Amino acid sequence: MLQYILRRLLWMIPTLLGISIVVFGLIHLAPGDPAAVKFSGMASGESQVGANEEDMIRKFRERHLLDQPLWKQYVHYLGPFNLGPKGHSWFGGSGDDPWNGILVGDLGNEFRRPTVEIAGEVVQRLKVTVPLALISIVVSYLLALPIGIYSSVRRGSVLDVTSAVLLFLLYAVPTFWAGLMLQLLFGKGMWDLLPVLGLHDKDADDLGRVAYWIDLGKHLILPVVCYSYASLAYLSRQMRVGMVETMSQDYIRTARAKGLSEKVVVLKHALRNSVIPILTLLAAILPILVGGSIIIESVFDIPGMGKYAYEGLLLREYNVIMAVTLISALMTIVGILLSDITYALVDPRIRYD
Amino acid sequence: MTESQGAENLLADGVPADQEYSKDYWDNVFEQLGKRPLVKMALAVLALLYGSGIYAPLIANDRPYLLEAIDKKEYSDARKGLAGVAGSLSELAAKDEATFRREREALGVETTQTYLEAARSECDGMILRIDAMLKYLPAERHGPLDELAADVEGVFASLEGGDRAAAQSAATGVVERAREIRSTYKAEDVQLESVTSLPVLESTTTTEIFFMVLWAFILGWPVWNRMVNRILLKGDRERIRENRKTKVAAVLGTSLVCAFLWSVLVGGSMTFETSYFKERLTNGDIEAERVVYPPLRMGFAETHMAEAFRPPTWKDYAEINEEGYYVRGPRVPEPDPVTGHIRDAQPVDVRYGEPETNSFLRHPLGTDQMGRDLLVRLFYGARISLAVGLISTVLLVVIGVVIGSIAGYMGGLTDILLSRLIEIVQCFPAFFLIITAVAMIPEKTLHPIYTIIFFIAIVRWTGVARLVRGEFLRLKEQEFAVAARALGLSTWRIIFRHVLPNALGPVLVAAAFSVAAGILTESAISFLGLGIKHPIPSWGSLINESRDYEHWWIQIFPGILIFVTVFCYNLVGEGIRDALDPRMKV
Repeated sequence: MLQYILRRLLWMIPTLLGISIVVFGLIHLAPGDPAAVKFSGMASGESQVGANEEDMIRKFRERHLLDQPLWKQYVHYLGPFNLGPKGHSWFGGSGDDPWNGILVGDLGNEFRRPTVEIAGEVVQRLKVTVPLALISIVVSYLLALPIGIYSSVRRGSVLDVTSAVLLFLLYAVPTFWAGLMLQLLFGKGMWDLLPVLGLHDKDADDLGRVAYWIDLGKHLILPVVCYSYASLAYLSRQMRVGMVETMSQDYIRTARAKGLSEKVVVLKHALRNSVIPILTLLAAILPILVGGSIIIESVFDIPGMGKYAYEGLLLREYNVIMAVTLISALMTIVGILLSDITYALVDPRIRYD
Repeated sequence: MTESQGAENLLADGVPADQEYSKDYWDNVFEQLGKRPLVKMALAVLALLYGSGIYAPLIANDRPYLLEAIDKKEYSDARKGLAGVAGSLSELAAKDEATFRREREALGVETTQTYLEAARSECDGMILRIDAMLKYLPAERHGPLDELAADVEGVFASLEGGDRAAAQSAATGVVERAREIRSTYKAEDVQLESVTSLPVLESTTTTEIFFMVLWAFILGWPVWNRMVNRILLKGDRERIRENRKTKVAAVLGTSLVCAFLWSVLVGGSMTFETSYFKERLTNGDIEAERVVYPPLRMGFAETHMAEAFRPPTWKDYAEINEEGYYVRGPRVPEPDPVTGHIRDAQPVDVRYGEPETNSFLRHPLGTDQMGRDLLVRLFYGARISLAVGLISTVLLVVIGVVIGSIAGYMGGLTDILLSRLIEIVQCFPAFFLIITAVAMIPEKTLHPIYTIIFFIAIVRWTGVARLVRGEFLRLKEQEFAVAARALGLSTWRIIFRHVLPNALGPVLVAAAFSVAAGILTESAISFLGLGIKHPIPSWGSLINESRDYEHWWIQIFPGILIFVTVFCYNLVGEGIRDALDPRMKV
């Protein structure tokens, strides 16, 4: 088992390298570079300014090695190798713009705001996105388990059928549209019940501690609903299927034959055996939630990781795009690995060699 | 529900129910699917949705189906221009080639046109104008114009022959004749005849015709398939089975032939020299005798600036008075508190054939920021949204099936390598990669539609590949595969002709779900403002046009269509899964 995990961890290296090469190539080969975006605001003006601007663009491109061949740029991105023109020493870029490379965990700085370190910014953003995703996961599990159990025990009942139909309908609702519809319903357009944008009110800083958290909670309701409804639909369906299968097992019949109450049979014997496969689905949901954050954070204007990625795309912040790609790829890989490991832990019949 | 057709007791496909036959794989699948009314309904809804996209130009268009009219403007422009062009032709005939070249140089005109070519283009100008007039003239008034045309050709012939004197005199004659025609052929003086044209058909492309015919076959499938089975194939199972491919080929062939015939007969012709039919009909340039309009009389890019963001017209607060102000509700203009000035408004521009300003049919689903009709744009948007889902799925299924079957059948090192590839691609953050590609690759290099299709296929084929690989591992040691090998068939033949058809069921299920996923992905990207923008919208980009809660119609209606489509595909996927094997889970 340990060997298996180690091997999988080792496989992460070529995988991440492959992904980074593909994305790096994609964003660098595409026409138009960050210099153009950064200096586009100064385009108009007298010839003096124009020449100045050209000079700035040239210097900018030189500093970030944008004028170098692609492979050099990539190797430079990887680590502190001395490949640039004379200004680039071993440990990173020119003197005022050190670059240590991705291999030592340096995600670099933004182009537009050169003093902002992406690593720090990403941590800030993840502090918003990850709790939001976690809350949503917890919510969807807390709802999915009872729904799944109930509908498997009372198969064919009115509640089972309605919940199945409703969840199947929900599963087809596009996330961004769900967000918009929630905003329409709960926002100023109709009921005016909840704030629909951002995480805080404008005057949140003046509020007391309790009021601050209430305000935050109110802002979180709609994004969490939006995050969790699809996974709720998926999970409760899986839960129902799993429970139905478990309930037809021999040991359940045995438990019943022993004279145990139905409650004990369902909640102790059956639930234990069908809940664990559902837990492993967590690993599959995690990366989807990270991807979904781009949409949801854009709809609800939440300053999280997804919003950061979106802005990075628009501004051609190469380093931001690469950072987001690598982080989400890492999360995907770890998610898959975790799910495989939990499967093995749960079911000793599965062996890895 | 499939039987009981009177005394004969036929199945849905026209075969006697009691007929004994051995079912093959697809017989079973179709039979199972036939038992599911929900799946049938979902398929019907999908067929209608695709149909609404394919037939969008027939449903909603700013061109009429049929127009019997006189383009007065075209006629009188041609008549007035005639003398002028004749004049310049005779001027040209008066010069010799050297003078012509010197003058061109003096003017500083950079041109490679030779003397003769210049003469030809003047002559063509004449002929064009003469033809434009002839189009509307009754036969008895053709005489002088035909002669004029002959004279023009005569001028050119003499110029070509190098006989400049003859050309000059002929050209003088042309000028005189043209002047005469100009004064005697005024539109008021002659009885003009209207010309019949089919503007919608003329503006349709060959591809559109192909899909229109194809879709007619698909929509009519339940009817004609039954008839063909009963009458031509006499309800014989074996023959029906054998002729499945023939039917598909016949349908595709007929559609292709129709498209080809259309491109030969109609392609590129335009009876009226305009693409702004409504404008010219409204301002009287075209005098119409008979106009037949499509049910919705607005183009997908036709703007009504005065009606920007107008709510659906069945809402009472969508009412606009004659000056262009809203009468009721939140959009009634309020005077500025300081100056007392009321924001200017334009009166609504009601063009030819359009419903009245406050008719509830005018904009049943409201308009966008440029006053374009949302309902019309939804019809056209269906084209992009549905096509992206379907084409990307076809691509990813092809990639997945090829890689999966090779890995599964070959085994060994090939399998290991391909499986590693699958594992690596699975780790790609799919949605973000697609978004990145769309944001980075500019429209000029690759249109966002293709970028989206292509990248969806690239990152999402792994699911299909794994499925197919698994099926192959299961199937390749079964008797029929072993027998095929023992017969010495080639590997490719065994893979694609023997094993693959038996592994396609799960692939079909995965395909149905991935069409849904593709549509969702495209709409999300377009919603973020990165994907498809213009000229034809997609459902996602329609929603992106406003996120203001006051413009609720823009957000609600396209979303409903996305939802319905995805829902139907999910239903179909579930249905096929159950039909294949009630216990199978993908």
